[in-house]
Amino acid sequence: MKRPELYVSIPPHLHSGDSLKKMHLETIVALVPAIFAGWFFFGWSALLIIALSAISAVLTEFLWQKAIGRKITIGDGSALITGILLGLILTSNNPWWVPVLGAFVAILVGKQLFGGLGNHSFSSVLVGWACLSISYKDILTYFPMPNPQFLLKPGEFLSDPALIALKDSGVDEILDLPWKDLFLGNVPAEIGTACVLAILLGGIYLLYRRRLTWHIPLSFLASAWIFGFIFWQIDPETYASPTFHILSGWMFLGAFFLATEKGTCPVTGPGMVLYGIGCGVLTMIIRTWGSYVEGVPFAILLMNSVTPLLDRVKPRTVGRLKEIA
Amino acid sequence: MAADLYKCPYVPNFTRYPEHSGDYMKRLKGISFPADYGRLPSPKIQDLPLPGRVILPLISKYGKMTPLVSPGDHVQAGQIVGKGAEKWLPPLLASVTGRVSAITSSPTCFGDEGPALVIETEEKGIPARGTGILQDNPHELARRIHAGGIREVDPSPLPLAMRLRKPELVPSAFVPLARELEKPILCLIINGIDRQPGVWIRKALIELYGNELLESVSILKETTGASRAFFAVSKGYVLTDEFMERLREVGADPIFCPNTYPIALEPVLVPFLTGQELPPNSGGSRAFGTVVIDVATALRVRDAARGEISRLDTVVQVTAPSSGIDTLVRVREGTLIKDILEHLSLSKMNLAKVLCGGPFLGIALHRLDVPVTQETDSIILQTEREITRYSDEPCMDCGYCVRHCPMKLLPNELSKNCEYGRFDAAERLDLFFCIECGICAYVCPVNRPMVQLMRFGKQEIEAGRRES
Repeated sequence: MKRPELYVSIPPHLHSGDSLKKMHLETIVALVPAIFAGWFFFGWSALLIIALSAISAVLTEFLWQKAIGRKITIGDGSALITGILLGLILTSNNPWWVPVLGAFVAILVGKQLFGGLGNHSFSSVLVGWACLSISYKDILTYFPMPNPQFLLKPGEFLSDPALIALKDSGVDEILDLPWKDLFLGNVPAEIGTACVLAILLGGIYLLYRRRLTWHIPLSFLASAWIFGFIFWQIDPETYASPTFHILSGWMFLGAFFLATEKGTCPVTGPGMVLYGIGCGVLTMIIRTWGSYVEGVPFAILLMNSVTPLLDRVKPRTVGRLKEIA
Repeated sequence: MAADLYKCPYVPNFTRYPEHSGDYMKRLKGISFPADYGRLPSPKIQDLPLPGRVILPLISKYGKMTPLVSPGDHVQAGQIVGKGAEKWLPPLLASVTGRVSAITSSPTCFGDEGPALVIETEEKGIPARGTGILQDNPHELARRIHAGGIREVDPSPLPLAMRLRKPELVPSAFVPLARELEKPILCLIINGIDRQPGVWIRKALIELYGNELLESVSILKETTGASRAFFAVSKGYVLTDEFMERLREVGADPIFCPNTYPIALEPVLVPFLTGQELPPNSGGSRAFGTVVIDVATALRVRDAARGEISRLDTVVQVTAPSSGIDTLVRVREGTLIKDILEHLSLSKMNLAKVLCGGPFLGIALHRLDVPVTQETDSIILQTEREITRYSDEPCMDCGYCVRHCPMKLLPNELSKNCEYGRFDAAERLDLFFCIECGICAYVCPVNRPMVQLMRFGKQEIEAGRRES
C-alpha cells in the first residue's frame, strides 16, 4: 500500500513546547535558594543529606520501573524534586540511611505503588517523611545549632527549634526572639525549612513563571495568620503571635512547595483557596492543641485526602445561565 | 512573562505598542499572545491567474445543495448554479465563466466530502468589477445579500443573510423555522480580530479595505437596525484617527480587545463585549439579539449590497514557516490548493501537513486537490519537523488547562472521562459547553490530546443519541 502523502490529525496542530522536564527544572531552580540556605547555616553535611536523598529517590524510581517493565520516567525530574524536598525537611545530622530510607518510601509507597506521577493522592515527600518521623522519632527531633558560613553570627537565642521551645516552655521563651533570626533561619531547624527568605525567593520565582498560582500559598499563610491572630487577641499570654507562627517551622516551605505538589492539590480557583484555608487552619490547630510540634505535614496530608471533593467546587461554566425558577 | 512560556511559533517577537483604552476590559481567560503588528507581513494581496478549472463543492456547513446545471452546460461567472435545501440557505454562484464538465465527488476545505461541480474555465484574465449603485431600500439590500451566496468562516447556526435581518425584513415563512429571528437586534459586532494566533488576514483586510468596510458598516446597520455597533480589533492594532472618526460617524465604536486567544470566537467575544453568555445549542448570538460578522464577510456583504456579483474570489493567507512564505493570495473560489502551491512555487516543498483554517482550529487535509472556498481563510503548510505530536501519557492534574480554559471548564477531568469512556460523567461536567478552541491541548505539559478526546466524547454521545 502506498504511504499517505500527508499527515492527518485533529486540531490543534500546535503545542506550547512546555514539558514536565521544563516544569520540574524550574521547580528545582526555585529550590536552589533553600538548598543554599541549608549549606549556609548547616554546612556541607546538609548538602550530603540532600544529595543522598535525591540520588536514592531517582534510583528507587529507576529500579522500580525497570523491575515492573514500565517506561523509565526519571528524566522528567519529578523523582529528583521529591528527593530534594525530602532532604530539605530532614536535619543535617541525620545518619546516612535516614534520607535513603525516606526517599525510598516516598517514591515507592508515596508515588509508584499508586501508578506513578499524577496518580498518587498524597504528597509523596510527606509520605516518606511521615514514615521516618513515626518510626524514628528520636533521631528526627535532634536539631543541630545553626552555624553560618560567613557574615552572620550563629543565632544562639534558642537551643531548640522555635516551635519546640514554644511547646515546652510557653510564650515567654520566644517573646524576645529576634525577628531577623527567624526570618533568615538562624535558628536550630531542619536543613531547608527555617530560612523564610530563601523559600520566599523560590516561591516568588515560581509565581513569576506562573508555575504556581497565588491561591494555595496565600490562602494557606493568610488563614494561618488570621487563625493565630484571633487566639493571640484572646490571650497573648498563652498563645504566640501569628507572625511568629507564620515565620517559624515549615509554614513557608509547606505553603509554596509541599502543599502545591501537582496532582495532590485541587486545580480550580475556589478549590485551591479552600484547600489552602484548610491547610492553614489545621496547621494552627495541630500546633496549638495537638501532640505534634509541627502541624504543617499532617495538615497537608489530611487536606490531600479531601482534594477530590474540593475539585468539585468549580466556577460556573461560561454559558451555563442561571436557571429561571 | 507568561508570553514567553507559551510562545507561538508563528508569532514573532513581542514589541510594546501604545495601548488603546476600551470600556470592556476585564479579566479574560485564555492564552495571551504577544502582539507584533510592526512585523506584520506586508498586507499586499497577490492576484493569482485564473485556474484552468475550478471545483465548487455542492455542500456547505448547512448541508447539501442541489445543482441547477448539468454537465455540458455553459455558465457565466456569478450565475446561480446550486441552491440549498431550504430557501434561506445561501445559493452557490459560479466563480468563473466556462463549461460544466462533470459533477464528481470532492473533499471540502472544512473536512467534509460530497458532490461538486467541475467547471473548465473559458475566460481570459480577470474581469473588471462592476460598480453597482448602493441601494437604500433595506428589503432590496437584504435580498441582494442573500443572492450574493455568502458563506462564512465562523460557524453559525443561522445563515448570514437571515441573521442580519431585523425582524421586519424576515419573510414570514421563515419565522417558524427559527423563532430567534423575531427578536430585535440590539448589537452588531464587526469582528476584526483574527481567529487564532498565526493568522493575520483580518488585520490586513482592515488595512487594505478601510473605506469599503465603512460602507459595509452602514449597510449592516441599515439591515440589522442595531442600536449599537462595535468594530472590534486587537489591542495594539493601530487604527488611524481618521478611520476611527469615520467609524463613529457611521455609528460604530472601535473597541480594542486583549491579545488573547480565543477572543475572536463568538462564544467568547460576545460575553466579553456585551456581557451576554451564549449557552450551547441556543441558536448562537442572534438568539440574544447580537450579530457578529467578521470583516471578510462584511466586505462580501458590501459587494453584494452594491449589486456587484459578490466577490467571486476569496482571499486566503498562505503560510509556510519553513519556506519563509507568509502572504495573502486572491483566488477564484474553487481554485485547488495544489494550483496555489504551484503558483507560489511551493510544490517542491517537503510537505507533511496542510492545515486549512489555522493552527488551532483548522482541518488537516489528506490531499491537495481540495478547492479553496469562502469557508476558509488560511492555509498553513508544515514540514515533518514542525508537526506536533501528542502522547498517551496519563494526566498529572497540574491544572494548567483549568487555568486557561476560556469557558471555565475542567478539561483535565473531561479528557480523563472521555478517555475512559465515562461519557455520562463528562456530560455532567458540561462537556457540550466546550468550544474546542484547543488551548488545553496547547498548554498541557504532558502533551495529552485533550481537546481531541473531548471531541471524541461529543461524537460518541451524539452517535449514541442518534441510535436510540
